[in-house]
Amino acid sequence: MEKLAKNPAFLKRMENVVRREERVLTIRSPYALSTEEVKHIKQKLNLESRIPLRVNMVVDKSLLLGIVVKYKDYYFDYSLKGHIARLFESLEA
Amino acid sequence: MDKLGIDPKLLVAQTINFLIVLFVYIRFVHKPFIRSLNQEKKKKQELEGALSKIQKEQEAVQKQKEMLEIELESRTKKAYNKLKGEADAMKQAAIKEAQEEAQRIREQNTQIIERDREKMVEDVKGQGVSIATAVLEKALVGLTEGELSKKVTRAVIEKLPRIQNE
Repeated sequence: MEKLAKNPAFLKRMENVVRREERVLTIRSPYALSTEEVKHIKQKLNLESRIPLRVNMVVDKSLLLGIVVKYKDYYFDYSLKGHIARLFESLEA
Repeated sequence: MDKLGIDPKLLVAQTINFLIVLFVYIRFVHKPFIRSLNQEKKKKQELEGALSKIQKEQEAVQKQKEMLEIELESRTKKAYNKLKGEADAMKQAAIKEAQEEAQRIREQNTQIIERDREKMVEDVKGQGVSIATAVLEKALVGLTEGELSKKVTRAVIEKLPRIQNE
């Protein structure tokens, strides 16, 4: 059991499980979003309940434009980088 | 007798003489000659018998030789056919094995090529994304932190879907 507790892979998995239960909203954007914008995002995603929600903001300039939102198993990529990546994915060899 | 010119004494003497000659002839010429002839005949018969026997044996040997030749030919043919069959089977097996090996190598090579191609495509895609991102980053320098970025963010936020049961 102690060995398992020290195992980084196991800890990572457990962390993921806890996070899914914990209600964490991760927003990645090319610039720091304002409180209004974050509130608007929560509102659009229907996450304005009484249950506490932890918002994790990440500034990632490589996204260029748009945002990437992750919540539990949901993943919304509305960034220009994501669009380009999908465009290349759709290209036939 | 005298009138006929025959002398009895001479006749007797000639008769005796004839008989003596006849005796001598029979005793020393005729009998040995006949004996010799019989012996020759017997010898000839024996030789003929032996010759006939030899001929018969020779014929039997010839017949046996012919039979042996036929049997040898038959066996040779059979062995040849057997060997040919085995050789054909081995040849077919070798061809089949070679074909299978070639097919296996072809499949392996196809898999390797396909894997390399997929990897190359992935690399190209990854590099394409990196290059396009870098190019756009250079092209949109200054815009990503400006009003355009905020406008885009606002438009994107409007597009966000509603998560159910939260």
